[in-house]
Amino acid sequence: MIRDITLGQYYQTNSVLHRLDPRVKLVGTMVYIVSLFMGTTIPVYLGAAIFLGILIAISKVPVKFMMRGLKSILYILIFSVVFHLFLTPGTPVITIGKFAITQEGAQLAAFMIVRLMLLIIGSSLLTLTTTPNSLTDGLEKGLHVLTYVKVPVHSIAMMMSIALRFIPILIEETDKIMKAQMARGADFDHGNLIKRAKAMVPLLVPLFISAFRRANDLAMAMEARCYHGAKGRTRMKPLRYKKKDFLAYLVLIAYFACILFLRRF
Amino acid sequence: MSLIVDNISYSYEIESGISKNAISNVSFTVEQGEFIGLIGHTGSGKSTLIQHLNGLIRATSGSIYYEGQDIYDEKFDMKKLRSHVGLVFQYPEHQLFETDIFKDVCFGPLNQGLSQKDAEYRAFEALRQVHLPENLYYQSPFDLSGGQKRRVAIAGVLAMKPDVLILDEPTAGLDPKGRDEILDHIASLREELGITIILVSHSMEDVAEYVSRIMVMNHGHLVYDDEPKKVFAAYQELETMGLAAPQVTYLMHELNAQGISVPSDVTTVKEATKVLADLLTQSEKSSTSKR
Amino acid sequence: MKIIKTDNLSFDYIRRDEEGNVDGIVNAVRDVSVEVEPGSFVAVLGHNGSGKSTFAKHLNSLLLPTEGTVWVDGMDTTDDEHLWDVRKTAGMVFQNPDNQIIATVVEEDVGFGPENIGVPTKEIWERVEKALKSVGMYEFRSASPNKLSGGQKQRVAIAGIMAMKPKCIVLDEPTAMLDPNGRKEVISALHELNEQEDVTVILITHYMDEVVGADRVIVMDGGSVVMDGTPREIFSRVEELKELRLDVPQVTEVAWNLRNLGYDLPLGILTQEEFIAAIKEQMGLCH
Repeated sequence: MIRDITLGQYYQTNSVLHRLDPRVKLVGTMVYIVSLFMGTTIPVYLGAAIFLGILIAISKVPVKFMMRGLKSILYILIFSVVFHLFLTPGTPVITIGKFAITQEGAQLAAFMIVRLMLLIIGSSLLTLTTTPNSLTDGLEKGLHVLTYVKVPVHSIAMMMSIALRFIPILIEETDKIMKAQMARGADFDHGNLIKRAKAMVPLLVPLFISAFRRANDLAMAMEARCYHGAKGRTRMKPLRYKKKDFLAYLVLIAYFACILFLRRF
Repeated sequence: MSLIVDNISYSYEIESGISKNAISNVSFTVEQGEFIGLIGHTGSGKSTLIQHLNGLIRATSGSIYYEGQDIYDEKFDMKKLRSHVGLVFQYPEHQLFETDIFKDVCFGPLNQGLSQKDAEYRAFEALRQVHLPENLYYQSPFDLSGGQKRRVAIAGVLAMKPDVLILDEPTAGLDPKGRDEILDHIASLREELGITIILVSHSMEDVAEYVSRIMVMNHGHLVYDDEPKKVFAAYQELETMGLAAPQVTYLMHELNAQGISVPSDVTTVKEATKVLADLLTQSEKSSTSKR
Repeated sequence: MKIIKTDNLSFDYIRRDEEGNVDGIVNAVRDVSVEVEPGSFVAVLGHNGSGKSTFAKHLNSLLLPTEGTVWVDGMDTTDDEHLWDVRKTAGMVFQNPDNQIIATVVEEDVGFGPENIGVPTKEIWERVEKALKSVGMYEFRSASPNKLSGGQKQRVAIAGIMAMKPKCIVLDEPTAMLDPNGRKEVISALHELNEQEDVTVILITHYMDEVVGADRVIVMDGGSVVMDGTPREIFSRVEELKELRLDVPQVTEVAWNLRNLGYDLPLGILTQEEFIAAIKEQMGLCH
C-alpha cells in the first residue's frame, strides 16, 4: 500500500525533461502552480491542461504510472469535493435532508477536482523526471543565496537526499518488524484507538532504534569517506545551464504569458 | 501436530499488470518432532514460504492444513496458529523493545491471553531453555552481546510454547562461536521439548550437522525434499542453484575421481575422518602384507 | 615504508550505566604492535568482541588510540593536519551494505568520496568509471542501490573507496551479512584489486574460508594479537584456533583429526588439492 505512492518517485526515461537542469524544473513547477491559481476559468485550466499534457508526452513517463499516484490522494479529493458540493451557498439543485447541493457548489467542486489533479500530476512530474539527488542539488544551488544569512543550505540538502535514500529501507524494515511482532501474537488491526496506539509501541521502539543505528553507521561511513561539509567539495554532476535550459525558461515565460492572456476570457 | 502444505503458490504484483511468482506449486508435510533444513539462495522464496506456515502471508492458491484444519477457513483462528507455529525472523534481536529482557519475553504469552503470572512463568522457562544466565534477566536487552540478544529473541517465541519452531537464518551475522551455540541450543530444544524445528539457512555445513531432512528451494519451486545424504549427492545441481554441498562432500567426490575409492555420501567432518582413517588403515595393512 | 604501523596501540572506553555513572573501563585493544607491508593481503581474525573492529577503526582515524601510536603511510593518525590524507590513504568498508551507501544512484555514490576530497568533475567521472569497472559493477552504474543484492552493494561500497585512490583498504566484516554467493563475489573482487591495483587489503572477518587466500593472518582475542603468520602457519595450530572458538576449513580439520589418530599427514593443509596429495602420499600412490 505504502509502495503505491508515486508522489516523490523517480521514473527513468531518456527524455529532454529528464535532462533539464533541476533549477529550471523547480522554477517551472512553481510557475505552473502559480498559473493554476491565476483564475478559475475554463480557458485557464484548459491552457494549463494542454501544457501539462505536452510535458507528459515529452517526459515519456507512462500515464498509467502517474495515475497510480493519484490513487493515494483519492480521499483528499473526495473530501474536498463533498465539502464544496454541500457547503457552497447558492441555488440548490438537489436537497438531501438539511444539506443541499448547489449549482455553484457543483461548479466549484468540478473546478476543485480539476485544479487538484492538475496540481498533483504537475508536481509529481517534477519528481518523476528528476532524481532525488539532482532535485536536492537544484535546491542547494538555487537557494545558495541563503547561505549568506547563515542558513545551512548544504546540510539541509544533504539531509534531504539521505532521507530519500533511507525511506524505502525504513518502510521495508517497518514491514519486517510488524510481521515479527505479529508472529509473537501482536495485533495491529483490532481494538479501540488507545489499544491500537499502545500496540504501536512494539513496532515504533525497534524502528527508532534501528533508525538511530543506521544513522550512526552512516555518519561513520561518511566520515570515513572524508565528508566534512560543503567546504572544498566538488561535484560529480555540477549544475550548469545549457542552451536547452535557457530555451525552457523561454517556454515558461511564453506559457505564463498565455495564461495571463487566457485569464481575460 | 501435523502441517500439510498442499500445492500453494504465491504471486505479487511488481508493476501494474506484471506479477511475479514468489512460490510456485509447493507441497510438503511436516510431522511431529522432525528437524528440517530449508535451503535456498537469497530470493529463492524460502523466507516467503515460511511466512505462509503461520499465516503471515496468504497463498494466492492452494491450501495449508494445521491438525487437519484448513487455515484459510473463515472460522480458523489465525492467532492461535501463530502460537502453535512459532516463527523467529532473521536478525530477531531487532524486534526487542521492552526495558528489560524478562518483560520482552513476556510479550508473546501476554498476547496469547495468559495471566501476568503464567506469562512470567513461561518467560522464565523460555529464558532457561536458551541458557541465558539468570543475572541478565532484568537487564536491558540492548546491553547484551549479539549472540545473547538473539537467544532472548528466540526465547520470546519459545515462551509461546509453539509445536513448530521455524528459524529464519538464526546464525546470520554471528561469529563461529555464537553460531555453534545457537545451533546447539536449537538441537537440544528439539530433544528436550520434542518440538518440530524448521531451520532456514544458506549454509550447507551448518545444516548437514544437525538436520534429518533437507528441503531445497529454487526460484520459488521446492526442488529437493529428502534426507541430507541424498540431497548432497546432487551437489552439481545444487551448484547451479547458487548453493554448494559441504566441503568434505566435494573432497570425497574428488578422491573418487582420482581413483581412490571412498563412499561419496559423506557430509560431515566426523564421517570424513572416519572414512579416511579406515582407508588409510586398509592401505597400511595391504602394503605391509605385500611386503 | 610500511603502509600501516602500530606501536603499542591500546584503546579503552568507559562503560556507563543508565545514569551515566562510570560502570567500568573496557580495554578493547591492548598493546597491539603490527606492521603491514604495502601491497599485501592481510586478514584479521577473531570472534565478536575480540577487538578486531576497534583495531580497524584506528586505521583511518575514526578512533584515536588511548595509548600508543598508529601510522598510516608514515602519517600519525592523531595529527589533525593529515586527517583527510589518512582517510584518503586507508579507505574503510563497513559491515552493513545498506548503511554506507549515501546516494540513490550507484555512480553518484561512488563519486561521493572524490567529491569530498575536491577532485575536479572530469576526473571524478574517470575515477568512478574505473572504480566501478574494477569491481565489475560498471553495468549497474545508473541503478538504484536498493535494487542490488548484498554482494553487489558491498562491491559498490568498495568502488566508492577505490574512487578515492587509496593505498590501503580496510574492510570491517564486509561479508558478515551476505549469503555464500555474495561473500564469494566480494572476496574475489578484493583479491583482484590486491593483485591488479596493488592495493593493500586488510580484511577483518570471522569466516575462515576467506582467510585461506591471504598473505598473512593476524588472530586477535581479548584485544590482543594472539597469532600472526601465513595462513598455513595459522592453520597448523588447529588446537589453539579451536580454543579461541574459531573455525578451520573442513579439509584442514579432517587432516588434523587424522594426524591425531596417528596418521602422518603434514600440518596446515589448506586446500582440497593439498589434502588429496597428502592422502596419496600416505597410501604410497605417488612419490
